[in-house]
Amino acid sequence: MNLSTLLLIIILGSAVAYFAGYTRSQQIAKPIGGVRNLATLPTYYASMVSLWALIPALLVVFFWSVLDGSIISSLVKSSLPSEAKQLSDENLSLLMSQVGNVASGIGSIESLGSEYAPAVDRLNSLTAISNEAMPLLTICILVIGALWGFRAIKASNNARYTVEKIFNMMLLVCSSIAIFTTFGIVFSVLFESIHFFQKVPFFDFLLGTHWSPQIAIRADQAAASGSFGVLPLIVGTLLISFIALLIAVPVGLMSAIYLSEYASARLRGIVKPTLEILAGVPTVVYGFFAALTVAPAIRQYGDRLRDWGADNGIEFLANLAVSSESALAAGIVMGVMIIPFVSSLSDDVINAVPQSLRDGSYGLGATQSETIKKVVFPAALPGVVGGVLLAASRAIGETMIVVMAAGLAAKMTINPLEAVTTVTVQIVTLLIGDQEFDSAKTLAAFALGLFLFVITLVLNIVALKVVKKYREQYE
Amino acid sequence: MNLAQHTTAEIVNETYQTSGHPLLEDPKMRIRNTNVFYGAKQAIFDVNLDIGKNQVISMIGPSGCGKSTFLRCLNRMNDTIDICRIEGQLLLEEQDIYDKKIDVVELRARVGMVFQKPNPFPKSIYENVAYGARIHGLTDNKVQLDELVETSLIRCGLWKEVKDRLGEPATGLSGGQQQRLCIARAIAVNPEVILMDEPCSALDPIATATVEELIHELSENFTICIVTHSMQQAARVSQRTAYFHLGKLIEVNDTSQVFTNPEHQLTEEYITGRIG
Amino acid sequence: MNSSTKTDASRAVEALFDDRELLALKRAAALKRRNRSEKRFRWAGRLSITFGMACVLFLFTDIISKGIGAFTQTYVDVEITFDQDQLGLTPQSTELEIKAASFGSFFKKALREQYPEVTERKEKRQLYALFSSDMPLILRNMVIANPALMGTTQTVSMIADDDFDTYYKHSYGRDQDEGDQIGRLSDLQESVVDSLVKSGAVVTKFNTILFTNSTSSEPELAGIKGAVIGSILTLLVTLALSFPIAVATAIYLEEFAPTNKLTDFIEVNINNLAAVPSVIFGLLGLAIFINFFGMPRSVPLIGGFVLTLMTLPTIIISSRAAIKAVPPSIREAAYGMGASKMQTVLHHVLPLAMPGMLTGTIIGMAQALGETAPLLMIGMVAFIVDTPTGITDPATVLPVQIYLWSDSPERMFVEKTSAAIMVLLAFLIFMNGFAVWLRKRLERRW
Repeated sequence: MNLSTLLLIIILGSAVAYFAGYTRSQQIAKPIGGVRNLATLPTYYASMVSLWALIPALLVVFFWSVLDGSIISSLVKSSLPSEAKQLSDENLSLLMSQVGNVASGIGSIESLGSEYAPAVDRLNSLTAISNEAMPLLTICILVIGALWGFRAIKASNNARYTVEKIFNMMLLVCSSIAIFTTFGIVFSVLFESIHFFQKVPFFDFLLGTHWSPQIAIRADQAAASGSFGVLPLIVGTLLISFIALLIAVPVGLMSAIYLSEYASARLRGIVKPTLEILAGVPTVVYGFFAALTVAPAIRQYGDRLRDWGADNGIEFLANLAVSSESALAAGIVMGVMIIPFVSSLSDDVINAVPQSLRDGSYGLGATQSETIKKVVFPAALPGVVGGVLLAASRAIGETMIVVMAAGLAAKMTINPLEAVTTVTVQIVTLLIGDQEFDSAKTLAAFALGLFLFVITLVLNIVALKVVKKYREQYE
Repeated sequence: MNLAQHTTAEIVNETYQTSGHPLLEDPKMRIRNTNVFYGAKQAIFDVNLDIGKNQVISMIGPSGCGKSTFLRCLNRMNDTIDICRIEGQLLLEEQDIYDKKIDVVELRARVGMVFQKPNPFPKSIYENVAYGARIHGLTDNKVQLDELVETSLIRCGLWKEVKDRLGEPATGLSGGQQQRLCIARAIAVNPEVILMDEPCSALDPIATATVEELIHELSENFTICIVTHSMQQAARVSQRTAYFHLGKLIEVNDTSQVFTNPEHQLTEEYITGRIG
Repeated sequence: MNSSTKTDASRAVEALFDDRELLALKRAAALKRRNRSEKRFRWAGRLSITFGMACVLFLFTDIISKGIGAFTQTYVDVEITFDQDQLGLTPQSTELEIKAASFGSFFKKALREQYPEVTERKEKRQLYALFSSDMPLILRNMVIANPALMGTTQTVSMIADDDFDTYYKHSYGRDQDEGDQIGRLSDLQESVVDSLVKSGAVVTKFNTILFTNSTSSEPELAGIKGAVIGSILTLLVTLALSFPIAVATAIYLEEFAPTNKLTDFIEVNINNLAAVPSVIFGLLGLAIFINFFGMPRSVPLIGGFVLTLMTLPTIIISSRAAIKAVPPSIREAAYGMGASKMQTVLHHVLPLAMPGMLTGTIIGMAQALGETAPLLMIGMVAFIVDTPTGITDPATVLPVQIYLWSDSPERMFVEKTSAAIMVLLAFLIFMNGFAVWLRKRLERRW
């Protein structure tokens, strides 16, 4: 029985329990003079029964699905031949995945060796048992739960308290998912990063100027020094983010100012949603645009400029070299992407500046631009700074544009015409495809993830603090 | 016409004539047949009024009577509201202030304004006062600007209180000090007329007294129009008083006469507290 | 600073206060400069919004002009005789027999017969390459569907190979210089195409392949069906999880949560998660779901889990705003009638806040639909030809398909990538439009 069928059965079962509970409570009510003499409404009794059926069953399904893989594999490991037990963790996990392949019919037992046959059989039988037992157990629990709830339908029993308590608990559990997610992120990147720093010293990572993770797989000793220096990635990330902000901040800010202070309601009604479109376009589309339209165009213009420079004897132009994947292309497109982000944040903070300040300035005979430049903007500055920080954090964390348009060359350069690579690009490149979780190459991605998480978190916390403080100032 | 037999609404709905003496000889500002609309709604009805030179005129009336709207017409602050439309003639020294040739920036330098709530810019005290001089290019160097700031603060009686902390943010001052700073900011560009929109409504009684005294002193050199909801204040600071009711200018007279012997029935009802 | 400048200054200031005409002169002197600066500032603003608008326009025209070609496909009408002897089949053959027949060599022979002048091996290969490599399979399926075709001669609409298609659509019939030619056809192939065009056998039709096929390594056979279904399945999982969880969280935080450290902590977490880069969620999915819990790679279920965690903050924040917007008077009215807290929330607050919550959810779903990076990392990037049928089948999603195709050098893949982008954008515009409509339609103003 597959998972979706089982879930459907559970839902149907709890629905049945609901109706049974409803009918039962009305039956109880009849001899004692109607529903009004029950402690609470029939729907609460019914909800109570169905919750008793639903929740334990769902918990069983959840924990079974989560745990069966690891339990089965530990049982199978025990039936491996003794020499296999001496293998290192890496090789053992490789072996286990081979056993898994044979068991599911990919590859033959001959290729693996007949001494592994018991393990394969064990795996097959355990999987079969698990597949049979889970639905059975779940349905049993469902029925038991429903009966338990059914028995509790009594005129004197206020089911509403029970239902509301369960309801409250469920709400709390849902709310705590945000906490679990944060913990999940922190622990997953932290643990793998600790593994990584056991292989590569922390300061080699943080201060190294050379990044070439590919060498590391082949020769562990070479990996230890120099190959995992994160500085080129940071430089690349900052370069691209800087270009992006250079475009997004002036354009976004000036658009916000123009739209909120000068534009007619009609123009605003057209321009604002149009700019918002830019925020809704998926990043992969920007990546495609950057890689196939903007980067070739930049290269073409660069080449033309170089030829022109060579013809006219202008040396620095004649030496111009534009790579086909350039930081400039990625940065420009990323800038365009965050224009609406900057402009809507600026719009918020500009509108939060009280009208009385503008009136004060107009009342003294200031022009609109003087009022904006000398009164509104300085007053909104903290909020704008917060918005720019948020935009920077978004630019640093942006992935697809740089994956598709910035390239993979880990060069320490601030020349925007060269290909650079970023933290996010390396995370994705290192993790696409199959990975072994113990290689320094894979773990490096988690170390980069930790780095990225910390940077963006700090930027966000600072930005939100600044914005909040600014808002309070005018409330 | 026996006014006593008319209800309030009837009086206001008729075409009306302002009682008292709305017109003067050689006034600072002349307002003729002025109507103000917010979209389709009319806020001011056919107002005729002269504002005398170096005089304080106060405008009183129940809330929503249009006195603030009228005041904001006098330096075109209503320009910032899209749906606001103004008809009629408003002259400053015989110059139509709604004339296309008039630069509103120039006009507001001549007709300054002080607002209901003190609204110092979130800058230093010094920068607040220097702001107008800076934008209008009034001073040639830093020394002159310092001098201008000092003179303006002295004239508002604020100098002694703030001279040691000119660099501190103006938002740190007390409410009364802030309002006086706003007045200092306004007089630093030496306007001809100062409009004050309920300048004391956000202040405590002591601060109010200080500001009222200041208004009195300033009337030597400036023409001042003050909107107030307090009849006592109008009586204390102004030479003339204009009473507005539902967008109409009901009566204008010398202050003493308005409060002791009003000509119009509505004015009387208002000052005796029967409407308001 | 000596005292004489000081007195000069005070004299100058005195003059300003005494002489209003001097003042007016000074103001007038500054006015020109001020008005110029005002104009410059306005132009900077206009320029900015023009730039933004131009970006939108350029982005869309670029993608549409690149992708519009992918909505048509070149076909060639060729007469083919289903030769009984060569295939060893009769109209009575069973499906099994037909499947065993060699349609590959049959197809090649049919082509050779059309062009008897082509004799060299290399040239023959070029001839075959003009048509999609799937043609033998398509012919076979035709016969399976209708065995009576055996022995007859039929006009078959053959799918042109991508190079053929590109050449025909983009460079055929235009005057052009040497080297400016698009496509990679040899001279022989070009002459064949030219003769086919002359005979009127070449037609372009609406490209149904794009919508009925999944991805393929052959550009002319690649379609987005698998990716679209993968996206839909992933979104369904995301919606089924994120909407109830987000609504429950919003209700808890707004209506039930006591003000304590736990509540504060939850709020801080939600706000921070909203700004965590999406690629980090990919790391989370990889480390927790796949590595720790041993769940399968590449499946919509895990994709949905990751996207749920990613979109939760967005939906929670907008749901909370919607609940906040319900005025307290409604709650007081319900309490006044003796309703319990849960009744008040479920009967009154929730229905009133629902439009806002739905709007937030749709926006969150649109965000999830366009997301790529975290899905790359949980393996939804695999080359999957089969169309997924359930949430535990390996699948890819539309944005990832776009990413994969954009790497391919063939011009036709560029077209198909742009076409896929157009489909994706169409979905997004529809979703956002629906959200806006919903908000306008159902939102109450208090």
